[in-house]
Order: sequence, then C-alpha cells, then structure tokens
Amino acid sequence: MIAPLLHADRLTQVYPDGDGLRVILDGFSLYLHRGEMIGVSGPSGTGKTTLLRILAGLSAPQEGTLNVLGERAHVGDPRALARIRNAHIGYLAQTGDLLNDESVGANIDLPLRFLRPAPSRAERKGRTQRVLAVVGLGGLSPERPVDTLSGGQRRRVALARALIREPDILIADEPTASLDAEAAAALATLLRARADAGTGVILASHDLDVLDRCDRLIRLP
Amino acid sequence: MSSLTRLGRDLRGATGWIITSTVILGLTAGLIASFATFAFSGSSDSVRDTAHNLSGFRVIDPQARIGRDVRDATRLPATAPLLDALGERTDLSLVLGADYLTQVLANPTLARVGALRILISTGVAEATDQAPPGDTEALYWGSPADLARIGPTRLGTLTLLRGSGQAPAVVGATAADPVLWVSPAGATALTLMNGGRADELARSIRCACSPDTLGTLTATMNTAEDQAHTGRRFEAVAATSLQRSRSGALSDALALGLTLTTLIMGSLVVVAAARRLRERMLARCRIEFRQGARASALRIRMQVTLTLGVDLPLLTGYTVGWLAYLPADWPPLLPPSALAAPVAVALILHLLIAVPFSRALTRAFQLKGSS
Ligand SMILES: Nc1ncnc2c1ncn2[C@@H]1O[C@H](COP(=O)(O)OP(=O)(O)OP(=O)(O)O)[C@@H](O)[C@H]1O
Ligand SMILES: [Mg+2]
Repeated sequence: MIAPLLHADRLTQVYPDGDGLRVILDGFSLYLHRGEMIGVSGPSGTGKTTLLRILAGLSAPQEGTLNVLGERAHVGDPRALARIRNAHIGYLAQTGDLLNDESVGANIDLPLRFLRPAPSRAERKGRTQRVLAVVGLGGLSPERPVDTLSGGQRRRVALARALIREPDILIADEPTASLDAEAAAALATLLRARADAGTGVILASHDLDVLDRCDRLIRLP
Repeated sequence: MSSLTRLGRDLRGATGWIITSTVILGLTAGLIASFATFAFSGSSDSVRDTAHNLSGFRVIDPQARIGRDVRDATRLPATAPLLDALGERTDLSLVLGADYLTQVLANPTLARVGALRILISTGVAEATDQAPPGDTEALYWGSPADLARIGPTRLGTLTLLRGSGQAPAVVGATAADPVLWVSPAGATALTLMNGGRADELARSIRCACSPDTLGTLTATMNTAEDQAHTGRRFEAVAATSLQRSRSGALSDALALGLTLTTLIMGSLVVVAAARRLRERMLARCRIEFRQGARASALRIRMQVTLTLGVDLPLLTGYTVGWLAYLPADWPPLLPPSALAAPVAVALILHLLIAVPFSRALTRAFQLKGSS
C-alpha cells in the first residue's frame, strides 16, 4: 500500500455562535495521495477556509491528528505542526498574506530565508525567477513593490511563494478568485500540472472549471 | 534580506513618531532630574543653623544655555562687574575645592597671576557656612597644626598650604612658608584657564556679608545681563539656602504637577504610538511565522525593536534633557531617589508595550482562531 501524503484523522472544530455552538467540522477525516488533486466546495461560510487552514497546520481545531508523510502531530502541538508545515506544505491564503511594503522578490523568497542552512542570495534569486515563470509572471520584475500589482498578479505572487519550497502538498484557498476566465484557466492548468508531477493538491473553490479538473470533490454542507 | 534589514523595516514602521515622542518624554524626565540634582546635592543638616552672614549667588538661566555661551566665561556679561568687585571688595572670596585648586596651581602659566584671595576647603559644602574671618592675606580652612603642603605648587617663591582640620584658621605668611597671595584680577586667569564654566565662576564666590549687601553687586551684574538680553539673572542668597531646597511655595507644587502631568501624557502618547507599531509588526510577524520563521526569533526581534525604538530614545532624551537643564540652577523639586525614575519609566513603558505584544504573538503562534 502506498502511504498517503496527508492523513487528517477525526478533525473537530466548533465555534461559539451567539448563545450556542456552531459545528464546522465533526470528526472529519481525509486522505490525500501523491498526484491527487482534491477540490473542496460549498457555499460561503461553510468552513472551507477553516478546513484548509487546519490541513495546512496553520490553525488548531479542538480535536484530531494530522499525519504528513509519516510524521504525526496532534493538532494541539503547535511546534510539531510548524515543523510539518515548513517541511512539506505550501499554503496559498484566501487573502494572499503578502508583505505589502516589500518587493515581489522579497515576498516570494520569504520562506527560503527561514531555511537552515539559508540558501545563497543567488540561489534565492534563481528560484524566485523560476517560480515567477511557473505562475506566468516571468516578465514581472522581482523589484516591483507588491502594492503596485493588480489583484490577479498578487494572487499569483502568493502562489509563487507557496511553491518556492517545492512542497509535497499544496493547499490553495480560492486560487482563482479575482482572476479573469483566461487567467483562471491558466492557473487551473498549472495546479493540475503540479498534481500530475506528484504534488498533492487541495483547493477550495467556487469555480466550476477548477473543480472540474479535480480528481475528487468534497462538498461541505 | 537579513534579519537586520527586517529589524530596520520594523523600526521604520514606527514612522519616527514613537521615537520623537519618547525623546520628548526623556527631555521632560531629564528636566525633573536636573531639579532633583540641584535639590539635595551636598545638603546637610549642619548647614541650616548657620546665621545669614555668608552669602552667594544663585544663577537663574531660563534658557539654560550650554555650549560656548556658558563654557566661555568671557561671554557671560556679568563676568566683568563680578571680577571688578572681586578686586575691590575684601568680603568676596573665591571658594574652590582642593582638587580643583591643585590642578590650577600645577599649571605653570599661573606664574603670571598676580594675587588672589583664596579660601580653600576640602569640600565646598563645608566651607560655605564659614565666613572668611577677616582682611588677612590668606584664608585657610583647618587648624595650623594640620597644615600640609599641596603638591607641586611652587609659584616663584610662594608655597601654598592647606589645612584639613575642622576649625577655621587664619595663617599668615612666614619667611619659611610664604603664602600664596594672588591679586583679585587673577581670578580671570584662574577661572578661564581651566575651562571652568562661567556660571561656575559665580557659584564659586562667597561673600562674608548678608545677601542684602551682596545684592548691590547682583544689581550691577543683572544690568549687564539685561543689556545683553540674555534673560539670565543672578540672585544674592544666603549661602545656606544655596544648599537646600526652596521652601514649598505654591509655584513649586504647580511646576511639579505640570511636569508630572507632562510625563504621564507623554507616556500615554508613547504607548499609543507603540500600539500602532505593534499592529504593524504583528501582521508582519504572523506572515513570517506562517512562512517558516521561528517563534523565538520573532520574539527576540520584537524585544530588540522595542529597545531601539522606545528605551534608547527615552534614555537619550533623558540624558540630553538632564545635560541641557543642568546649568539652569532651577529650584529643586524632587529628592535624589527620583534620579532612578528614568530607568524605571523606561522599564515600565517597555513592559506596558511588550507584555500585550508578547501575548498577541503567543496567540498568533498557538494557531488559535482563524485568518
Ligand atoms: N475564529 C472564529 N470564531 C468564530 N467563528 C469563526 C471563526 N473563524 C471562522 N468562523 C466562522 O466559521 C464559518 C466558516 O468560515 P470559513 O472562513 O471557513 O468559511 P468559507 O467556507 O471559507 O467561506 P468563504 O467561501 O466565504 O471563504 C463562518 O461562519 C465563520 O464566521
Ligand atoms: Mg474561505
């Protein structure tokens, strides 16, 4: 049996909601295999972002374990989650999470700067150029301040940053939001290509074209 | 981009505001401290019982000039009438600490100095409650039995003697040990030669007279200052009151209240400014943490940023304020223990800012909540 890239086991997330509680996840489990692309869909506010953040080790639910490439972490152990996240997971946040007062290059190679040993400046530059080309921004100068970019460009810069450590797992929250149909299609193709190259991809989307290319869909109620 | 560059960005995020406000706060604290320094330096209970037969100058300099203006006594308009009076009046003496005098007399250019009446003491504070006892050639503090030679002080054929006892004594010159007798005009050379501050010259003078008698001189000195529009004043006061805090007038309470209010308001501004800094830095730290930065590294960076952005400007401002107001000779307000205040204020401010910051970071690192 081939070991899964990611195994989320019995995740439970409950938020207080007014006087009562709102159950977002109730014993949710998931396997993600190499080369697989999973789409998460559902109306706004059902918990797509919540789920993706938990899977990315960015948020801790009340219960559950996360097993990534054989490394197992209870969700209550932030250190273990951080280790797993940094080693294996690229995350594209719905909001982009860019450092607005910095350049494209500084944003994209941010994850490399925390690697030990740190890659040389030349290597960081080279890798930045490569991922920029991958996300279709080959012509964009890494010196450009991020706050001068369009919404679509910003999303692709954020995606480039998620890809720069060549993660085993790519988790993307609404990757094609704010892109036009053509750019969205290009990005969907790109994600599919990553998956075909062996990366495990989980994405949340409302975009049917994107969901169409997924191997498997999870619909949140 | 190194972590140093990232630290620089964090600081730039403070937009100078926090730094400016902490400098101002520091200046205010320095002002208080300068009051405090004057308040109690050298004060002692024994001084209080003395009759007002010895007086001196209080220098009031609202603009608290430092630098050339006060470093160079010739620029002090009151210097000329003061030196004239030293030459004419026998009740005026220059009081110098023994260390200072040794240094002065070791200088060979003093050979050109004429004659000066000198009251020597081991400490200025002790000397002030003793009037120079008469129109003798040299005045000593100490009993003749305790007389000792001071270091290489031969000036021509003269030798200077110093006493270390408690009782005042008058010693005349003998053939064996002639006594230094410098003409009053020599005060110019003595004071200026050693880079003494102009206001120190005035502070070093004691009159064996009541403040009223000395008042005729201060009137002349103040006229000279007025003509030069310096705003500086000299007041003749009993020597004893030079050493003690001014008795509590309403204006003192008012000044103290205003200063403390300024300090508190200043602290609030700094804390508010720091809040902005915190929000910015927190957003940054959160993103960097998600991209793999170590929590401990981010925490250290936060502390260093606060130290450079808050503590350092505060203490610098304090020091500058303290130095700037030091020559003003304002009446004292606070006890010397208040001198520990700036460090305490810096520490409290640092904690006020760092503790919520640190807790926000903990929340961000513990992955609680969303986004
Ligand atoms: N920290 C929190 N405390 C309380 N409720 C929360 C918290 N975070 C999210 N929620 C709620 O959980 C629900 C799911 O939020 P989530 O962001 O996961 O939705 P989503 O499916 O991604 O929506 P969208 O499609 O609009 O992005 C929402 O109702 C939201 O208000
Ligand atoms: Mg969402």
